[in-house]
Amino acid sequence: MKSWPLWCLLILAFITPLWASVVGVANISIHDALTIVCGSLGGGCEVDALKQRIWIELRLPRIVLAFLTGAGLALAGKVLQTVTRNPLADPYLFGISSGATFGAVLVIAVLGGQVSWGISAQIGLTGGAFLGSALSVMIVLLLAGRRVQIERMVLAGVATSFMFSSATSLVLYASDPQAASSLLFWSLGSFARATWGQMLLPLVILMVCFLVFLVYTRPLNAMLAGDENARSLGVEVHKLRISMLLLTSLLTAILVANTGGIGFVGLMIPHIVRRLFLQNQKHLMWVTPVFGGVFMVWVDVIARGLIDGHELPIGVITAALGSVFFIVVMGRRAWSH
Amino acid sequence: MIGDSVYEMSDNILSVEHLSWSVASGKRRILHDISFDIPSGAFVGLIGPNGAGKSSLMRCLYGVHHPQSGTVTLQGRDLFFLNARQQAQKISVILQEHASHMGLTVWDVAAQGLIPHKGLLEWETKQDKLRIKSTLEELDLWPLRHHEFESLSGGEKQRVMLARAQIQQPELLIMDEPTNHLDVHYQIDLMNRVKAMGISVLASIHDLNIAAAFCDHLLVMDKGRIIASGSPNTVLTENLVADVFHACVAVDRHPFMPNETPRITYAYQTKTQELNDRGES
Repeated sequence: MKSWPLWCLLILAFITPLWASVVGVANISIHDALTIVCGSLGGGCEVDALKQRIWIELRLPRIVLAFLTGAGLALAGKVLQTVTRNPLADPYLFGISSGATFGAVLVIAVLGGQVSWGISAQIGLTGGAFLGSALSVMIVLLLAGRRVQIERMVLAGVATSFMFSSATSLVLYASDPQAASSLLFWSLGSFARATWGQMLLPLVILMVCFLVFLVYTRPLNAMLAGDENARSLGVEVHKLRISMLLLTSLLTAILVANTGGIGFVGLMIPHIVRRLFLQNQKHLMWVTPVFGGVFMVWVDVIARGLIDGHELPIGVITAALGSVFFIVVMGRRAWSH
Repeated sequence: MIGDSVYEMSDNILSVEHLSWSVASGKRRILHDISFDIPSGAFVGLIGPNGAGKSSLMRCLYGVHHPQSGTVTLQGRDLFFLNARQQAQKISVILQEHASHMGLTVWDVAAQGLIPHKGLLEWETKQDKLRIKSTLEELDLWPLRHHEFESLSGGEKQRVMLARAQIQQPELLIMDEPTNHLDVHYQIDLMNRVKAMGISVLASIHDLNIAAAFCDHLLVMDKGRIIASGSPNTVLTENLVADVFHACVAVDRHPFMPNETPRITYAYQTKTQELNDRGES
């Protein structure tokens, strides 16, 4: 088994945040960044106080939130693709993201666009997003029938996704201009408002989900070859599928509440990881989130650096990359058979 | 029903009594009052035309379908009181076709045989890895261990599933048409390897010559019922094959096999009309 791809990824995961933290308008070098890190670990810090503040309070939380979001969405996509045996599944396909967006948007609309990142606003947004995504999962499961057929689930997911997108548009249309402006944040996705205060919940939920998914790696892999196959290996298929759907909807909801709608990451990353790490299948449950996190940090770097003095929304970049990726995958499939 | 004294004398690993199953709506009954035993160590073949209910019966035995009536006893315990994991510790299943394994390698698929025996927090031990390695070597799969399962040929895939079944260490192996889509070499190879495992087997088989050559006992199903049961040389008669499969055959003794193993020779064209006429009358 080749282990060098894993080592490359780990090195990349170490270098990426450091590199990303020195990209920006304020001139902070890698030496400055390392000095700040050393300083905060106990040594004296000779870097300018303003630079320190920018690095610690603006850049670092942004990078951490980007990493957590990429990791969480990639993990959610990986688990959804596994439990539905659909390589094109992601939180969007099953309406989870749309439901979460609708829930969050409804909360913002009710608050009249006055979203400050206080703890109560965060709980409200997260709660709204989770209720929306959970409602979406319930509808999909109800429509999937007693035997929870995958094909019906996909169709139900698409319908539910459109339904919530439509409801979101309606809320946007009916909201006052200030709320509508805040709502744009959710539809496009951004890490610009990242603060250390909002990091705890996504981090805790991501770690909990990651550990649960890691523990269930073997039963989840058994489901890849079909329900009958998994059942014959002792897996309680329906219970596991429903539990995983609810857990991924919780994870997606937390991330959507904090960053807005960021599409295609959950679809793309598990695909790329499967191809790149073919001989490291048993490591995919941790490789996928790490790769997703690294990817999202780079997307954020592109968003900040592509146009001078102007920041592009994250969702625009991931959707652009994702749609090209989707077309390439579908094209290769169409012509390889 | 045709009896078989040697068969009936053995200890049974699995006993099915009066099992009936209908599709969820209950409107269409697929299995009617099925009863049979599988003695320990016996290789039992399930034969019958398409739609006879063979796969449905097997699904009832490995927990996918839930029969409306009847009992299934596995080593003296009611199968339906065991949870999925307990069932999988006793029964291994090889299906006729394999859905996409989405990137899993030969090693990963074979290692799935450990799932019923491992707790969620138990990792693979050195002994587990050695067992997987020796099983893959035994089945000539070691050079393919890093290959993607989906990239294998049909015969290689079935060997991987057999490796998984061996690692699962079952008391009973259920196989649903395992030789479908395999060429003659792989059909014989697979069946010989299964036979060499020496465990109790229930296999649905379409090829009557394969069934005759490898099975100790045959169950014949038609229209959701077991209509005959016995050793291959008592069950596989020209009349039974004509009645059940609507095929005209000549049955004689196989020249290369011991124990009066029957050999079935099909009349491919000339007798078809005659049979159709017979069926109508």
